[in-house]
Amino acid sequence: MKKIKRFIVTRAKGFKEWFKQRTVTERIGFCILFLIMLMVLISFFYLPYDPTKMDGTAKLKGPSPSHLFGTDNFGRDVFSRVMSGLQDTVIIALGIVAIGAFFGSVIGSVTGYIGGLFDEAVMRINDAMTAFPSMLLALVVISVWGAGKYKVIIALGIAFIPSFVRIVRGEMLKLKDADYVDSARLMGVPTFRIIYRHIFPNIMPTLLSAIAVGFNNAVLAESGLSYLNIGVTPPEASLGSMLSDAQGYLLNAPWYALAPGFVMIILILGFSFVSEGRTK
Amino acid sequence: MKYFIKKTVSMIITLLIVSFLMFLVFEIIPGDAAVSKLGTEATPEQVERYRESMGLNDPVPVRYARWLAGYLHGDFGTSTKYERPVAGLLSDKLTVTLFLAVESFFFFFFISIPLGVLVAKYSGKAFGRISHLLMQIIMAITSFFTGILLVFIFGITLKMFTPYRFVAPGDSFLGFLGCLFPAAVAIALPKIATVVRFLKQSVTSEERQDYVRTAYSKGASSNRVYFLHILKNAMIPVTTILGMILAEVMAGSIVIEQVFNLPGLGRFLVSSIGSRDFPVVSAIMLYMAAVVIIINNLVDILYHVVDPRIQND
Repeated sequence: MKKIKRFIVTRAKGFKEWFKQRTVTERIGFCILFLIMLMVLISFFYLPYDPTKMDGTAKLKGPSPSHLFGTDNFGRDVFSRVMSGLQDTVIIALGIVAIGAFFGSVIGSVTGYIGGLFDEAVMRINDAMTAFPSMLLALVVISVWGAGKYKVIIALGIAFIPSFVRIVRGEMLKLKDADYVDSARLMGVPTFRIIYRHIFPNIMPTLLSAIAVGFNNAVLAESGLSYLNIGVTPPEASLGSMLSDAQGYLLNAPWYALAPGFVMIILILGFSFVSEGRTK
Repeated sequence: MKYFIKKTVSMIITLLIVSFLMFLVFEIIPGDAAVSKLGTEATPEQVERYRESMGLNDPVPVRYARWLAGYLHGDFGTSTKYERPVAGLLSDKLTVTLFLAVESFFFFFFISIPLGVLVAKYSGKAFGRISHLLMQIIMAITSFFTGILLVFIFGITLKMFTPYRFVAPGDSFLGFLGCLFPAAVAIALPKIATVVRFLKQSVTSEERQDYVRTAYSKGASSNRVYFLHILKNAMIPVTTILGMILAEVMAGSIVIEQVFNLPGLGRFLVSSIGSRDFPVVSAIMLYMAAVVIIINNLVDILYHVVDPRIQND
C-alpha cells in the first residue's frame, strides 16, 4: 500500500515538473486534449440520451438544461450525438494516423538507411503519390470500393503514408552517419537493431509532432469525406456527416450545425497548440 | 535549360504513371463493360460480339494507348448515366470551377501578402499577437465549416447575400461572379492563414540582414523597407507554398462547391461517384490530378528563374 502511494506521489511530482516545463500554448493544448479524450472515454460508457432514439414531441428544440445542445429534426439529442460523433471522429483519425505513421516509418527508415538506387526508386513513387491530393486518392478508393468507416480509415491511411515516409527518411539520412551509429555497427549490432534501437528513438520527437499535425489533417480529411456523404455511412455519424445533415436546418435550428462544428474546431486547436509548442 | 528539360520529362513521366493508374482503376477494375451494358440476360455470343466491337478483347497496353489517345484528342468517353459524351457534360461545370478558383486566388493573394508583412512588422505589438492567434483559429476551422459559418452569419443573420443562389454566367456575368464570392472567401480563408504564418516567419528571418540596415541608413521609410526590400527576398521560400495553393485551388474545392450548392466539377464528381458513372469520374479526377502535377512543376521551374542562386540538384 505504501509502495503504491509512493509511486503515485513520485509520478504526480514528475507530472508537475513536466507540466511546468511546457509553454503556455502547449499547456492549453494538453488541457483541451485531456478534456476531449475524457469526453471520448465517457461516451463509451455513458451518454445522456440514446443518440439514435427519435422523439417526435421534441423536434428542433433549442438548447435547454435537459438538451444541452438542443435537438435535431428527428428529436434526437444533439449533445449525445456530438459525443458519439466525436468518438467516431477520434477513432477514425487515430486509425488513419496509425496506418500512415507505421508504414511511413517502416518504409522511410528502411529506404533512408539502405539508400542508393532502391531509395531513388521508392522516393520517385513517393513523390508521384504526394503530387496526388490525399482527398482524391481516398475518393478513388471509395468510388470503386464503396463508402464505410473502415474503408475510410484504410483509404486515408494509405494516402497519409507518403508524408511520413518523407519525414522519417529525412531524419534517417541525418542520423545514419552519426558516430554512435558507426560505433554500434562496428560492435556488430544487426542492422535491424540499429534502426529501431539506436536511431529510431532519436527520430521520435520529430515523428511525434508530425503525428500531431497528421492527426489534424486526418480529422479534416475524414470530416470532408463524411460531409460529402461518402465517408461513414448512417446510422453511424461522425462530426462531418452531422454537419451535412444539419446544414439544411441552419435557418431554424442553428445549434444543430454549430455544436459539432465548434467541437471539431476545439479538437483541432488542441492538437495544433501541442504541435506548435513542441516545435518552438 | 538542362534543368527545364529534366523537369519536363519527369513531369510527363509522373502524368503517365497517374493516368495509367486511373486507367487501371476505372477501366479494368469495375468489371466487364459488355455485361454491364447488355445486362446479365445477354447471350454469350452477343457479349462476345460487343466486346469485339468495343475492342475490349485487346491486351491492356493497347487499350491504354487507345484510351490515352482519346483523352489527348478531347474524347473522354461516354457517360454511362447520361449517355452523352463526357466532354460536353463537363464544359459548363469547368467554367464554374475555374472562375471560382481565379476569384478565390485573387482574394487570397491580395490579402495574405500584405497581411503577412504587417503581422511580421508588428509581431511584438498587440496587432501582431491578435492576428497570430486569429490565424491559428482560422486554420483549425474546416473549410466547409467556414462556409457554413459564412452562410449562417452573413447570409442568414445579416442577410448580405442569398445563400445557395446560383446565377448562370450567360444570364449575368457580374451576378455570376457575385454568387461565387462567398464560396471564394471560404476557400481562401484557411489558405490566407497558412501563408500569413509562413510569410511572417520568412520576413522575421530577413529583418536582421545587412541590406535592411543599409536601406534604413539610406533613409528609406520602414514601410518602404518592409514592402520593397524585405518582401522581395522573403517571398522566395513562400513561392513554393503559393504554387501548391494555386494548384489546389485550380483543381477545385469539392467540398466547398457542395456547401454553396455550386454546379462545378467537384459536385458533379461526387454525384457521379454516387451513380457509379466511371467515365465521368475518371475524367474529372484526371483533370484534378493533372492540374496539381502540372502547376507544381511549373512553379518549380519558375522558382529557378526567379532565384538563380538555387543550384540545380
